[in-house]
Amino acid sequence: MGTKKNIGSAIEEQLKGFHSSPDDVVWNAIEAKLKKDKKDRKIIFFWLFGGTAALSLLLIMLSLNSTNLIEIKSTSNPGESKSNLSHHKFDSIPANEIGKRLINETDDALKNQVHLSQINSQNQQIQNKKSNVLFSQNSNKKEENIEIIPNRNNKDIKNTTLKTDSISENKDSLKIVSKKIDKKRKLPINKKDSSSSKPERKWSIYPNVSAHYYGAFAKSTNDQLTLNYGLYLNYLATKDLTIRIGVHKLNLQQTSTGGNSLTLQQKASYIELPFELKYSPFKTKVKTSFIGGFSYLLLEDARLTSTTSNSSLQVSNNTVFNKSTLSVNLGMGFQAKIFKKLHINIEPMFKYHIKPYSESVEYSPFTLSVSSGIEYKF
Amino acid sequence: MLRTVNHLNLKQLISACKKNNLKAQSELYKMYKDDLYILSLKYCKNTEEAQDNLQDAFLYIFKNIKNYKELGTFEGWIKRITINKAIDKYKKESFINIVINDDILVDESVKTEDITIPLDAILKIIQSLPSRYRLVFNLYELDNYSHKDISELLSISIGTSKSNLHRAKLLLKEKISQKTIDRNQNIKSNGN
Repeated sequence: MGTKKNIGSAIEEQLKGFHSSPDDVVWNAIEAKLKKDKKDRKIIFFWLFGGTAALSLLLIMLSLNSTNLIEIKSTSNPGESKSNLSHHKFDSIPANEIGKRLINETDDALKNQVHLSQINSQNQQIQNKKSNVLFSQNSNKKEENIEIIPNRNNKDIKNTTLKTDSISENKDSLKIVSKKIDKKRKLPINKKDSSSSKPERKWSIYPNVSAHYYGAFAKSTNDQLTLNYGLYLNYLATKDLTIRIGVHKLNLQQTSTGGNSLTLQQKASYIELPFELKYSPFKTKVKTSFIGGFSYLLLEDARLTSTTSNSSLQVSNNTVFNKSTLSVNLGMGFQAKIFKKLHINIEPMFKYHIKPYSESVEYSPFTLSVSSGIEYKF
Repeated sequence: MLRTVNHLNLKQLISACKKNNLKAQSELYKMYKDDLYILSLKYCKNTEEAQDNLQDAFLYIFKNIKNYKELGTFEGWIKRITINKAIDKYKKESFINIVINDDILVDESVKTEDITIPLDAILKIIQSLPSRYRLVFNLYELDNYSHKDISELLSISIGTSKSNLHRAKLLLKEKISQKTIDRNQNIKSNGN
Protein backbone atom coordinates (compact mmCIF):
# COMPACT_ATOMS: atom_id res chain seq x y z
CA MET A 1 0.00 0.00 0.00
CA GLY A 2 1.60 3.25 -1.15
CA THR A 3 1.52 6.56 0.63
CA LYS A 4 -0.52 9.38 -0.76
CA LYS A 5 1.39 12.31 -2.14
CA ASN A 6 0.56 15.74 -3.36
CA ILE A 7 -0.09 15.29 -7.05
CA GLY A 8 2.46 18.00 -7.83
CA SER A 9 5.19 16.16 -5.96
CA ALA A 10 4.16 12.87 -7.53
CA ILE A 11 4.36 14.32 -11.04
CA GLU A 12 7.62 16.05 -10.26
CA GLU A 13 9.08 12.77 -9.12
CA GLN A 14 7.87 11.00 -12.23
CA LEU A 15 9.18 13.65 -14.59
CA LYS A 16 12.69 13.41 -13.17
CA GLY A 17 13.37 10.56 -15.53
CA PHE A 18 12.04 12.26 -18.59
CA HIS A 19 14.43 12.89 -21.43
CA SER A 20 13.83 14.61 -24.72
CA SER A 21 15.76 16.61 -27.31
CA PRO A 22 14.60 19.34 -29.67
CA ASP A 23 14.81 18.89 -33.42
CA ASP A 24 17.91 20.00 -35.27
CA VAL A 25 15.77 22.51 -37.09
CA VAL A 26 15.68 24.62 -33.90
CA TRP A 27 19.42 25.19 -33.97
CA ASN A 28 19.31 25.78 -37.73
CA ALA A 29 16.78 28.56 -37.18
CA ILE A 30 18.82 30.05 -34.31
CA GLU A 31 22.02 29.88 -36.35
CA ALA A 32 20.38 31.55 -39.35
CA LYS A 33 19.10 34.35 -37.15
CA LEU A 34 22.47 34.84 -35.45
CA LYS A 35 24.19 35.04 -38.84
CA LYS A 36 21.61 37.49 -40.09
CA ASP A 37 22.08 39.66 -36.99
CA LYS A 38 25.84 39.64 -37.54
CA LYS A 39 25.33 40.74 -41.13
CA ASP A 40 22.87 43.45 -40.04
CA ARG A 41 25.36 44.76 -37.51
CA LYS A 42 27.97 45.05 -40.23
CA ILE A 43 25.53 46.95 -42.45
CA ILE A 44 24.60 49.33 -39.64
CA PHE A 45 28.29 49.81 -38.89
CA PHE A 46 29.02 50.58 -42.51
CA TRP A 47 26.17 53.00 -43.06
CA LEU A 48 26.14 54.90 -39.81
CA PHE A 49 29.68 55.16 -38.61
CA GLY A 50 31.40 54.34 -41.87
CA GLY A 51 29.32 57.00 -43.59
CA THR A 52 30.16 59.55 -40.94
CA ALA A 53 33.84 58.69 -41.05
CA ALA A 54 33.90 58.78 -44.87
CA LEU A 55 32.25 62.17 -44.92
CA SER A 56 34.69 63.50 -42.36
CA LEU A 57 37.63 62.13 -44.31
CA LEU A 58 36.31 63.58 -47.53
CA LEU A 59 36.06 67.00 -45.98
CA ILE A 60 39.54 66.74 -44.51
CA MET A 61 40.90 65.72 -47.92
CA LEU A 62 39.15 68.63 -49.56
CA SER A 63 40.60 71.03 -47.06
CA LEU A 64 44.07 69.55 -47.59
CA ASN A 65 43.82 70.03 -51.32
CA SER A 66 42.97 73.71 -51.07
CA THR A 67 45.48 76.43 -52.00
CA ASN A 68 48.49 76.55 -49.76
CA LEU A 69 49.88 79.91 -50.75
CA ILE A 70 47.94 83.05 -50.17
CA GLU A 71 49.17 86.49 -50.83
CA ILE A 72 47.73 89.19 -48.68
CA LYS A 73 47.95 92.74 -49.88
CA SER A 74 47.10 95.77 -47.87
CA THR A 75 46.58 99.12 -49.51
CA SER A 76 45.31 101.43 -46.88
CA ASN A 77 46.47 105.02 -46.66
CA PRO A 78 49.11 105.80 -44.08
CA GLY A 79 49.16 108.94 -42.01
CA GLU A 80 45.52 109.24 -41.14
CA SER A 81 44.62 111.05 -37.94
CA LYS A 82 42.97 109.46 -34.91
CA SER A 83 39.74 111.24 -35.62
CA ASN A 84 39.59 109.77 -39.03
CA LEU A 85 40.24 106.26 -37.86
CA SER A 86 36.82 105.44 -36.59
CA HIS A 87 35.05 106.96 -39.57
CA HIS A 88 37.34 105.53 -42.17
CA LYS A 89 37.87 102.10 -40.73
CA PHE A 90 35.93 100.07 -43.27
CA ASP A 91 37.57 101.79 -46.19
CA SER A 92 41.12 101.81 -44.96
CA ILE A 93 41.20 98.30 -43.53
CA PRO A 94 39.20 95.70 -45.40
CA ALA A 95 37.31 93.41 -43.09
CA ASN A 96 38.99 90.31 -44.33
CA GLU A 97 42.37 91.92 -43.86
CA ILE A 98 41.70 92.37 -40.16
CA GLY A 99 40.56 88.79 -39.98
CA LYS A 100 43.80 87.67 -41.52
CA ARG A 101 45.71 89.75 -39.04
CA LEU A 102 43.90 87.98 -36.21
CA ILE A 103 44.79 84.66 -37.71
CA ASN A 104 48.45 85.56 -37.86
CA GLU A 105 48.92 87.86 -34.90
CA THR A 106 49.78 85.19 -32.43
CA ASP A 107 51.33 82.71 -34.76
CA ASP A 108 54.89 82.29 -33.52
CA ALA A 109 55.85 79.87 -36.21
CA LEU A 110 55.39 82.44 -38.87
CA LYS A 111 56.64 85.48 -37.03
CA ASN A 112 59.63 85.98 -39.33
CA GLN A 113 57.57 85.84 -42.43
CA VAL A 114 54.61 87.93 -41.39
CA HIS A 115 54.66 91.74 -41.58
CA LEU A 116 51.38 93.06 -40.42
CA SER A 117 50.32 96.64 -39.97
CA GLN A 118 50.60 97.86 -36.44
CA ILE A 119 48.37 100.26 -34.68
CA ASN A 120 50.49 102.93 -33.02
CA SER A 121 48.63 104.45 -30.11
CA GLN A 122 51.21 107.24 -29.74
CA ASN A 123 50.98 108.86 -33.14
CA GLN A 124 47.54 107.44 -33.92
CA GLN A 125 48.59 106.35 -37.32
CA ILE A 126 48.02 103.10 -38.98
CA GLN A 127 50.82 101.90 -41.14
CA ASN A 128 50.06 99.22 -43.56
CA LYS A 129 52.65 97.43 -45.49
CA LYS A 130 52.44 95.18 -48.40
CA SER A 131 52.79 91.81 -46.79
CA ASN A 132 53.57 88.47 -48.17
CA VAL A 133 52.34 85.71 -45.97
CA LEU A 134 53.02 82.10 -46.41
CA PHE A 135 50.50 79.81 -44.94
CA SER A 136 50.89 76.15 -44.72
CA GLN A 137 48.19 73.72 -44.06
CA ASN A 138 48.03 71.90 -40.80
CA SER A 139 47.86 68.30 -41.73
CA ASN A 140 47.85 66.87 -38.27
CA LYS A 141 44.23 66.01 -38.27
CA LYS A 142 42.94 64.04 -35.40
CA GLU A 143 41.80 60.54 -36.15
CA GLU A 144 38.22 59.92 -35.22
CA ASN A 145 37.75 56.42 -34.00
CA ILE A 146 34.24 55.42 -33.10
CA GLU A 147 33.44 52.02 -31.79
CA ILE A 148 30.44 50.30 -33.21
CA ILE A 149 28.31 48.23 -30.95
CA PRO A 150 26.18 45.39 -32.17
CA ASN A 151 22.48 45.84 -32.56
CA ARG A 152 20.79 44.16 -29.68
CA ASN A 153 17.24 44.69 -30.73
CA ASN A 154 15.24 42.10 -28.93
CA LYS A 155 12.53 41.09 -31.32
CA ASP A 156 11.10 37.66 -31.13
CA ILE A 157 11.82 36.01 -34.41
CA LYS A 158 9.89 33.06 -35.54
CA ASN A 159 11.02 32.22 -39.01
CA THR A 160 10.56 28.54 -38.81
CA THR A 161 7.55 26.45 -38.20
CA LEU A 162 8.57 23.55 -36.10
CA LYS A 163 6.32 20.62 -36.47
CA THR A 164 8.15 17.50 -35.55
CA ASP A 165 7.26 15.91 -32.30
CA SER A 166 10.49 14.78 -30.83
CA ILE A 167 9.28 13.20 -27.68
CA SER A 168 10.61 9.70 -27.66
CA GLU A 169 8.00 7.23 -28.85
CA ASN A 170 9.61 4.37 -27.07
CA LYS A 171 7.97 4.74 -23.72
CA ASP A 172 9.70 1.77 -22.20
CA SER A 173 13.12 3.06 -23.00
CA LEU A 174 12.76 6.13 -20.90
CA LYS A 175 15.55 6.07 -18.42
CA ILE A 176 15.76 7.70 -15.07
CA VAL A 177 18.32 10.44 -15.41
CA SER A 178 18.50 13.00 -12.73
CA LYS A 179 18.14 16.24 -14.59
CA LYS A 180 15.90 18.36 -12.55
CA ILE A 181 16.75 21.94 -13.28
CA ASP A 182 17.94 23.90 -10.27
CA LYS A 183 15.20 22.27 -8.39
CA LYS A 184 16.14 22.92 -4.85
CA ARG A 185 17.17 26.49 -5.30
CA LYS A 186 14.60 29.15 -4.70
CA LEU A 187 14.43 31.21 -7.84
CA PRO A 188 14.12 34.96 -7.43
CA ILE A 189 11.96 36.73 -9.90
CA ASN A 190 14.01 38.71 -12.30
CA LYS A 191 11.63 40.92 -14.14
CA LYS A 192 14.42 42.21 -16.31
CA ASP A 193 14.56 38.86 -18.05
CA SER A 194 10.99 39.11 -19.09
CA SER A 195 10.34 40.55 -22.47
CA SER A 196 6.87 41.40 -21.27
CA SER A 197 8.14 44.56 -19.64
CA LYS A 198 6.99 47.73 -21.34
CA PRO A 199 9.16 48.74 -24.29
CA GLU A 200 11.20 51.89 -23.87
CA ARG A 201 9.77 55.00 -25.41
CA LYS A 202 11.32 55.52 -28.79
CA TRP A 203 11.23 59.29 -29.15
CA SER A 204 12.38 62.10 -26.94
CA ILE A 205 13.15 65.79 -27.09
CA TYR A 206 16.00 67.36 -25.22
CA PRO A 207 16.11 71.15 -24.87
CA ASN A 208 19.45 72.13 -23.45
CA VAL A 209 21.66 74.95 -22.32
CA SER A 210 25.39 74.69 -22.82
CA ALA A 211 28.57 76.48 -21.87
CA HIS A 212 30.99 76.62 -24.80
CA TYR A 213 34.74 77.08 -24.69
CA TYR A 214 35.96 78.19 -28.12
CA GLY A 215 39.62 77.30 -28.40
CA ALA A 216 42.18 76.48 -31.02
CA PHE A 217 45.13 74.16 -31.32
CA ALA A 218 48.47 75.95 -31.85
CA LYS A 219 47.10 79.32 -30.82
CA SER A 220 46.87 81.11 -27.52
CA THR A 221 43.44 82.55 -26.78
CA ASN A 222 41.39 83.61 -23.79
CA ASP A 223 37.95 84.90 -22.83
CA GLN A 224 36.35 82.04 -24.70
CA LEU A 225 33.30 81.05 -22.65
CA THR A 226 29.78 81.65 -23.95
CA LEU A 227 26.35 80.36 -23.03
CA ASN A 228 24.22 78.77 -25.76
CA TYR A 229 21.00 76.84 -26.17
CA GLY A 230 19.40 74.32 -28.47
CA LEU A 231 17.16 71.32 -28.95
CA TYR A 232 17.72 67.66 -29.79
CA LEU A 233 15.23 65.16 -31.22
CA ASN A 234 16.21 61.62 -30.26
CA TYR A 235 15.13 58.28 -31.69
CA LEU A 236 15.93 55.04 -29.90
CA ALA A 237 16.99 52.85 -32.84
CA THR A 238 18.01 49.84 -30.80
CA LYS A 239 18.13 49.05 -27.11
CA ASP A 240 21.52 50.73 -26.81
CA LEU A 241 21.74 53.09 -29.76
CA THR A 242 20.05 56.46 -30.11
CA ILE A 243 20.11 58.55 -33.27
CA ARG A 244 19.64 62.26 -32.73
CA ILE A 245 19.39 65.41 -34.74
CA GLY A 246 19.08 68.90 -33.43
CA VAL A 247 19.40 72.60 -33.82
CA HIS A 248 21.53 74.90 -31.71
CA LYS A 249 22.19 78.61 -31.67
CA LEU A 250 25.90 79.05 -31.14
CA ASN A 251 27.59 82.27 -30.20
CA LEU A 252 31.30 81.68 -29.96
CA GLN A 253 34.06 84.06 -29.07
CA GLN A 254 37.78 84.11 -28.45
CA THR A 255 40.26 86.83 -27.72
CA SER A 256 43.93 86.98 -28.58
CA THR A 257 46.51 89.59 -27.75
CA GLY A 258 49.11 91.07 -30.03
CA GLY A 259 51.92 93.56 -29.71
CA ASN A 260 51.42 97.22 -28.77
CA SER A 261 48.56 96.48 -26.35
CA LEU A 262 46.44 95.21 -29.21
CA THR A 263 43.59 92.94 -28.29
CA LEU A 264 41.61 91.14 -30.95
CA GLN A 265 38.28 89.62 -30.12
CA GLN A 266 36.67 87.33 -32.67
CA LYS A 267 32.97 86.54 -32.39
CA ALA A 268 31.21 84.04 -34.60
CA SER A 269 27.52 83.10 -34.56
CA TYR A 270 26.41 79.80 -36.02
CA ILE A 271 23.26 77.78 -36.44
CA GLU A 272 24.41 74.27 -35.63
CA LEU A 273 22.60 71.21 -37.01
CA PRO A 274 24.08 68.15 -35.28
CA PHE A 275 23.63 64.53 -36.39
CA GLU A 276 24.90 62.22 -33.70
CA LEU A 277 24.76 58.65 -32.47
CA LYS A 278 24.56 57.91 -28.80
CA TYR A 279 25.62 54.50 -27.59
CA SER A 280 24.55 53.54 -24.08
CA PRO A 281 25.93 50.14 -23.11
CA PHE A 282 25.63 50.54 -19.35
CA LYS A 283 22.21 50.23 -17.75
CA THR A 284 23.19 51.76 -14.46
CA LYS A 285 21.22 54.24 -12.40
CA VAL A 286 23.12 57.05 -14.06
CA LYS A 287 23.17 55.96 -17.69
CA THR A 288 26.52 56.61 -19.33
CA SER A 289 26.69 57.07 -23.09
CA PHE A 290 29.30 57.59 -25.76
CA ILE A 291 28.42 60.17 -28.37
CA GLY A 292 29.83 60.54 -31.85
CA GLY A 293 28.77 62.34 -35.01
CA PHE A 294 29.08 65.58 -36.85
CA SER A 295 27.44 69.01 -37.06
CA TYR A 296 26.63 71.16 -40.03
CA LEU A 297 27.42 74.77 -39.07
CA LEU A 298 25.78 77.69 -40.85
CA LEU A 299 27.50 81.01 -40.27
CA GLU A 300 25.16 83.80 -39.20
CA ASP A 301 27.63 86.53 -38.43
CA ALA A 302 31.29 87.05 -37.62
CA ARG A 303 32.73 90.18 -36.04
CA LEU A 304 36.21 91.17 -35.14
CA THR A 305 36.91 93.85 -32.54
CA SER A 306 40.41 95.24 -32.26
CA THR A 307 41.10 97.22 -29.13
CA THR A 308 44.11 99.28 -28.23
CA SER A 309 44.63 101.33 -25.10
CA ASN A 310 42.93 104.31 -26.74
CA SER A 311 40.58 103.01 -29.36
CA SER A 312 38.29 100.22 -30.36
CA LEU A 313 37.41 99.07 -33.83
CA GLN A 314 34.72 96.58 -34.77
CA VAL A 315 34.29 95.17 -38.24
CA SER A 316 32.26 92.43 -39.80
CA ASN A 317 34.61 89.77 -41.08
CA ASN A 318 32.12 87.30 -42.54
CA THR A 319 34.32 86.87 -45.58
CA VAL A 320 37.09 85.35 -43.49
CA PHE A 321 34.75 82.54 -42.44
CA ASN A 322 33.16 79.96 -44.66
CA LYS A 323 29.41 80.33 -44.93
CA SER A 324 29.03 76.74 -43.82
CA THR A 325 31.33 74.20 -42.28
CA LEU A 326 31.34 70.93 -40.42
CA SER A 327 32.53 69.75 -37.06
CA VAL A 328 33.37 66.23 -35.92
CA ASN A 329 31.78 65.62 -32.55
CA LEU A 330 32.81 63.31 -29.74
CA GLY A 331 31.58 63.24 -26.20
CA MET A 332 29.94 61.50 -23.32
CA GLY A 333 26.48 61.66 -21.84
CA PHE A 334 25.25 61.07 -18.33
CA GLN A 335 21.55 60.63 -17.77
CA ALA A 336 19.50 60.20 -14.61
CA LYS A 337 15.78 59.58 -14.32
CA ILE A 338 13.69 62.23 -12.57
CA PHE A 339 10.20 61.00 -13.34
CA LYS A 340 8.77 58.34 -15.62
CA LYS A 341 9.24 60.39 -18.78
CA LEU A 342 11.68 63.03 -17.61
CA HIS A 343 15.43 62.57 -17.48
CA ILE A 344 18.19 65.00 -16.69
CA ASN A 345 21.26 65.00 -18.93
CA ILE A 346 24.80 66.29 -18.63
CA GLU A 347 26.93 65.99 -21.75
CA PRO A 348 30.54 67.11 -22.12
CA MET A 349 31.41 67.35 -25.81
CA PHE A 350 34.45 68.03 -27.97
CA LYS A 351 33.85 69.39 -31.47
CA TYR A 352 36.63 69.79 -33.98
CA HIS A 353 35.83 72.34 -36.67
CA ILE A 354 36.80 71.32 -40.17
CA LYS A 355 37.91 74.20 -42.41
CA PRO A 356 35.94 77.01 -40.76
CA TYR A 357 37.89 79.75 -42.58
CA SER A 358 37.85 80.64 -46.22
CA GLU A 359 41.61 81.07 -45.96
CA SER A 360 44.04 78.40 -44.87
CA VAL A 361 45.41 78.83 -41.39
CA GLU A 362 47.83 76.94 -39.22
CA TYR A 363 45.65 76.54 -36.21
CA SER A 364 42.57 74.43 -35.77
CA PRO A 365 39.57 75.73 -33.86
CA PHE A 366 37.48 73.52 -31.65
CA THR A 367 34.85 73.81 -28.98
CA LEU A 368 34.61 72.15 -25.61
CA SER A 369 31.15 72.28 -24.16
CA VAL A 370 29.06 71.01 -21.31
CA SER A 371 25.36 70.94 -21.98
CA SER A 372 22.54 70.13 -19.64
CA GLY A 373 18.78 69.92 -19.80
CA ILE A 374 15.68 67.86 -19.21
CA GLU A 375 14.86 65.17 -21.73
CA TYR A 376 11.19 64.28 -22.28
CA LYS A 377 10.49 60.78 -23.61
CA PHE A 378 7.33 59.92 -25.51
CA MET B 1 20.48 20.75 -11.40
CA LEU B 2 21.27 21.37 -15.00
CA ARG B 3 24.00 19.29 -16.56
CA THR B 4 27.25 19.48 -14.63
CA VAL B 5 29.62 21.65 -16.59
CA ASN B 6 33.27 22.29 -16.04
CA HIS B 7 33.23 25.77 -14.54
CA LEU B 8 36.32 26.98 -16.37
CA ASN B 9 35.02 25.74 -19.72
CA LEU B 10 31.67 27.38 -19.13
CA LYS B 11 33.32 30.67 -18.26
CA GLN B 12 35.36 30.52 -21.47
CA LEU B 13 32.28 29.61 -23.47
CA ILE B 14 30.30 32.50 -22.01
CA SER B 15 33.17 34.85 -22.70
CA ALA B 16 33.33 33.69 -26.34
CA CYS B 17 29.55 33.98 -26.67
CA LYS B 18 29.79 37.58 -25.47
CA LYS B 19 31.97 38.16 -28.53
CA ASN B 20 29.30 36.59 -30.76
CA ASN B 21 31.48 33.59 -31.55
CA LEU B 22 29.15 31.26 -33.46
CA LYS B 23 31.07 28.12 -32.54
CA ALA B 24 30.83 28.96 -28.86
CA GLN B 25 27.13 29.71 -29.24
CA SER B 26 26.68 26.31 -30.86
CA GLU B 27 28.51 24.61 -27.99
CA LEU B 28 26.46 26.43 -25.40
CA TYR B 29 23.29 25.43 -27.22
CA LYS B 30 24.33 21.77 -27.25
CA MET B 31 25.13 21.96 -23.58
CA TYR B 32 21.73 23.22 -22.44
CA LYS B 33 19.26 22.48 -25.24
CA ASP B 34 17.78 19.32 -23.71
CA ASP B 35 17.24 20.77 -20.27
CA LEU B 36 15.69 23.96 -21.53
CA TYR B 37 13.60 22.03 -24.01
CA ILE B 38 12.09 19.87 -21.27
CA LEU B 39 11.45 23.04 -19.29
CA SER B 40 9.71 24.54 -22.33
CA LEU B 41 7.67 21.37 -22.83
CA LYS B 42 6.26 21.73 -19.33
CA TYR B 43 5.28 25.36 -19.81
CA CYS B 44 3.98 25.22 -23.38
CA LYS B 45 0.92 23.67 -24.93
CA ASN B 46 2.68 21.31 -27.30
CA THR B 47 6.06 20.39 -28.77
CA GLU B 48 5.87 22.91 -31.60
CA GLU B 49 5.34 25.78 -29.21
CA ALA B 50 7.99 24.37 -26.88
CA GLN B 51 10.52 24.40 -29.72
CA ASP B 52 9.46 27.93 -30.64
CA ASN B 53 9.95 28.91 -27.03
CA LEU B 54 13.36 27.27 -26.92
CA GLN B 55 14.37 29.17 -30.04
CA ASP B 56 13.17 32.49 -28.61
CA ALA B 57 14.90 31.80 -25.32
CA PHE B 58 18.26 30.99 -26.89
CA LEU B 59 18.13 34.02 -29.18
CA TYR B 60 17.42 36.19 -26.15
CA ILE B 61 20.21 34.51 -24.19
CA PHE B 62 22.77 35.09 -26.96
CA LYS B 63 21.72 38.69 -27.47
CA ASN B 64 21.77 39.50 -23.77
CA ILE B 65 24.61 37.34 -22.55
CA LYS B 66 26.69 40.52 -22.23
CA ASN B 67 24.35 41.51 -19.40
CA TYR B 68 24.98 38.32 -17.47
CA LYS B 69 26.96 39.55 -14.45
CA GLU B 70 27.70 36.19 -12.84
CA LEU B 71 25.77 37.23 -9.73
CA GLY B 72 23.81 33.98 -9.81
CA THR B 73 24.42 30.72 -11.58
CA PHE B 74 24.38 30.78 -15.35
CA GLU B 75 21.96 27.85 -15.30
CA GLY B 76 19.55 29.80 -13.11
CA TRP B 77 19.79 32.80 -15.43
CA ILE B 78 19.00 30.85 -18.62
CA LYS B 79 16.25 28.95 -16.87
CA ARG B 80 14.53 32.16 -15.79
CA ILE B 81 14.76 33.49 -19.32
CA THR B 82 13.16 30.33 -20.71
CA ILE B 83 10.35 30.43 -18.17
CA ASN B 84 9.76 34.14 -18.74
CA LYS B 85 9.59 33.60 -22.48
CA ALA B 86 6.91 30.98 -21.97
CA ILE B 87 5.02 33.23 -19.58
CA ASP B 88 5.11 36.05 -22.13
CA LYS B 89 3.60 33.70 -24.66
CA TYR B 90 0.60 32.77 -22.55
CA LYS B 91 0.22 35.63 -20.13
CA LYS B 92 -2.23 37.40 -22.37
CA GLU B 93 -4.71 34.57 -21.94
CA SER B 94 -7.13 35.72 -19.31
CA PHE B 95 -6.65 34.82 -15.70
CA ILE B 96 -9.96 34.79 -13.93
CA ASN B 97 -9.65 36.27 -10.47
CA ILE B 98 -11.60 33.69 -8.53
CA VAL B 99 -10.71 32.85 -4.96
CA ILE B 100 -12.16 29.63 -3.61
CA ASN B 101 -12.81 28.90 0.04
CA ASP B 102 -10.63 26.37 1.79
CA ASP B 103 -13.67 24.50 3.12
CA ILE B 104 -14.73 23.42 -0.34
CA LEU B 105 -11.26 22.31 -1.35
CA VAL B 106 -11.20 18.76 -2.60
CA ASP B 107 -8.39 16.36 -1.82
CA GLU B 108 -5.99 16.41 -4.75
CA SER B 109 -3.43 13.97 -3.36
CA VAL B 110 -2.62 10.81 -5.26
CA LYS B 111 -0.69 7.61 -4.74
CA THR B 112 2.60 7.62 -6.63
CA GLU B 113 2.15 4.03 -7.79
CA ASP B 114 -1.24 4.96 -9.23
CA ILE B 115 0.52 7.01 -11.88
CA THR B 116 1.26 4.17 -14.22
CA ILE B 117 0.96 6.02 -17.49
CA PRO B 118 4.09 6.84 -19.54
CA LEU B 119 6.01 10.01 -18.85
CA ASP B 120 5.22 11.63 -22.16
CA ALA B 121 1.54 11.04 -21.46
CA ILE B 122 1.91 12.84 -18.12
CA LEU B 123 3.60 15.68 -19.94
CA LYS B 124 0.83 15.84 -22.50
CA ILE B 125 -1.73 16.06 -19.71
CA ILE B 126 0.15 19.00 -18.20
CA GLN B 127 0.30 20.64 -21.62
CA SER B 128 -3.44 20.15 -22.07
CA LEU B 129 -4.23 22.24 -18.98
CA PRO B 130 -5.57 25.75 -19.62
CA SER B 131 -2.62 28.17 -19.64
CA ARG B 132 -3.67 29.90 -16.42
CA TYR B 133 -3.56 26.57 -14.59
CA ARG B 134 -0.51 25.16 -16.34
CA LEU B 135 1.69 28.18 -15.63
CA VAL B 136 0.77 28.37 -11.95
CA PHE B 137 1.16 24.60 -11.49
CA ASN B 138 4.59 24.57 -13.11
CA LEU B 139 5.84 27.63 -11.30
CA TYR B 140 4.65 26.51 -7.87
CA GLU B 141 5.00 22.74 -7.94
CA LEU B 142 7.86 22.12 -10.34
CA ASP B 143 9.98 25.27 -10.05
CA ASN B 144 9.42 26.30 -6.44
CA TYR B 145 8.08 29.80 -6.95
CA SER B 146 5.96 31.17 -4.12
CA HIS B 147 2.40 32.40 -4.63
CA LYS B 148 3.70 35.93 -4.05
CA ASP B 149 6.30 35.53 -6.80
CA ILE B 150 3.69 34.04 -9.12
CA SER B 151 1.23 36.83 -8.44
CA GLU B 152 3.86 39.39 -9.42
CA LEU B 153 5.05 37.44 -12.42
CA LEU B 154 1.58 36.83 -13.84
CA SER B 155 0.00 40.06 -12.57
CA ILE B 156 -2.67 38.23 -10.62
CA SER B 157 -3.65 38.19 -6.97
CA ILE B 158 -2.19 35.68 -4.53
CA GLY B 159 -5.71 34.27 -4.04
CA THR B 160 -6.07 33.70 -7.76
CA SER B 161 -2.72 31.98 -7.85
CA LYS B 162 -3.81 29.64 -5.06
CA SER B 163 -7.17 28.83 -6.59
CA ASN B 164 -5.64 28.27 -10.03
CA LEU B 165 -3.16 25.87 -8.50
CA HIS B 166 -5.93 23.96 -6.78
CA ARG B 167 -7.94 23.75 -10.00
CA ALA B 168 -4.85 22.62 -11.88
CA LYS B 169 -4.24 19.80 -9.45
CA LEU B 170 -7.84 18.63 -9.57
CA LEU B 171 -7.80 18.61 -13.36
CA LEU B 172 -4.51 16.74 -13.41
CA LYS B 173 -5.76 14.13 -10.96
CA GLU B 174 -8.92 13.66 -12.97
CA LYS B 175 -7.10 13.37 -16.29
CA ILE B 176 -4.41 11.04 -14.99
CA SER B 177 -7.04 8.79 -13.42
CA GLN B 178 -9.00 8.68 -16.65
CA LYS B 179 -5.87 7.97 -18.67
CA THR B 180 -4.91 5.19 -16.24
CA ILE B 181 -8.36 3.60 -16.54
CA ASP B 182 -8.22 3.79 -20.35
CA ARG B 183 -4.74 2.28 -20.38
CA ASN B 184 -5.73 -0.58 -18.08
CA GLN B 185 -8.79 -1.33 -20.22
CA ASN B 186 -6.62 -1.38 -23.35
CA ILE B 187 -4.19 -3.79 -21.73
CA LYS B 188 -7.06 -6.03 -20.67
CA SER B 189 -8.68 -6.00 -24.11
CA ASN B 190 -5.33 -6.72 -25.78
CA GLY B 191 -4.80 -9.60 -23.32
CA ASN B 192 -8.17 -11.10 -24.24
